[in-house]
Amino acid sequence: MIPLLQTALPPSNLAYLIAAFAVTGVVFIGYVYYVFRRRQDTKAEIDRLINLSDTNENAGRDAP
Amino acid sequence: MQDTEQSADRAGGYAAGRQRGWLTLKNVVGAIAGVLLAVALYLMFAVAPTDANLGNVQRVFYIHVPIALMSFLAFFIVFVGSVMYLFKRSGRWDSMAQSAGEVGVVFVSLALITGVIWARPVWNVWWTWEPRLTTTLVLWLIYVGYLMVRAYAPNRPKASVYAAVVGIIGFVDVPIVYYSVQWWRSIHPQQVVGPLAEAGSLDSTMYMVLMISMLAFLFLTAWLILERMAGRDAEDELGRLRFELRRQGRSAEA
Repeated sequence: MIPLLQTALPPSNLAYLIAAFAVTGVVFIGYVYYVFRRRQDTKAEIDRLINLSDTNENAGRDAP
Repeated sequence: MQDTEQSADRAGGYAAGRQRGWLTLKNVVGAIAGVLLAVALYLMFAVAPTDANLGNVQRVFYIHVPIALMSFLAFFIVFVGSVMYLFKRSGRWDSMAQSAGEVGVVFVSLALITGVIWARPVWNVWWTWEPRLTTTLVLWLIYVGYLMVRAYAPNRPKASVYAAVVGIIGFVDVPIVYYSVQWWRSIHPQQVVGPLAEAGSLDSTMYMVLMISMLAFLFLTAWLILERMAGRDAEDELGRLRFELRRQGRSAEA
């Protein structure tokens, strides 16, 4: 059996571990939210412009 | 019906892309990343042994190392995308470089933050101007500059060219960061993966957990880049639509 070389337990620094994982999680979730939100807004604007373009075309066709 | 088809044509690939459904490469990569991250988190906390000297904070290593290496990978993609853009002038390469640049900045920021949090209990300081930390901070500044060049250039073609130049020159710092612990006297731990890693420098269970975490972050990086590229495609499409509508408006006025 290998004897233990240290008598004390490993240092308790759980707070730092939790902080590192929490910051990482928040940053990733925040970035994913930003990417999705930005794309959703872009898609909504595209849909609005397509509808606008269709309306303009129909109005042009119906005009005497 | 005909109007709908015409609208879809007008929106180019965007409208067609929306009809592809959920089983796309992007979503498959995202699902794999999610599963692997869950597995990696379980292994980090339930399977990996607690380090005898550093205690629990050593587990930061399972996210800090993959995040740092994935930032290098992202900046390598920026480098390749930038070189290819300057040769081919294709928007696809520019989109890839821009997306990877943004993801790389997120990753290198997190590498700095997690490193700082790890350093406080281990080195007793939040920050010290030692070679690895300093060169990583320089890397962060270079790629924040890369994103600023894109944001503030007078127009899209100029932004792409200027950013490509910064992306190519900036990549020089990546090998400097990696080799800094060898080239200069550094208190940062030596490499555990890559060409300079010593065999057997890590416990086998710790190594296995690190590799799975690395794989999880690899898929996460790929997914984030693909998602951001899809966003950039949509933004390009929006630009084209606006241009077409302005042109229509002008011809109607004439």
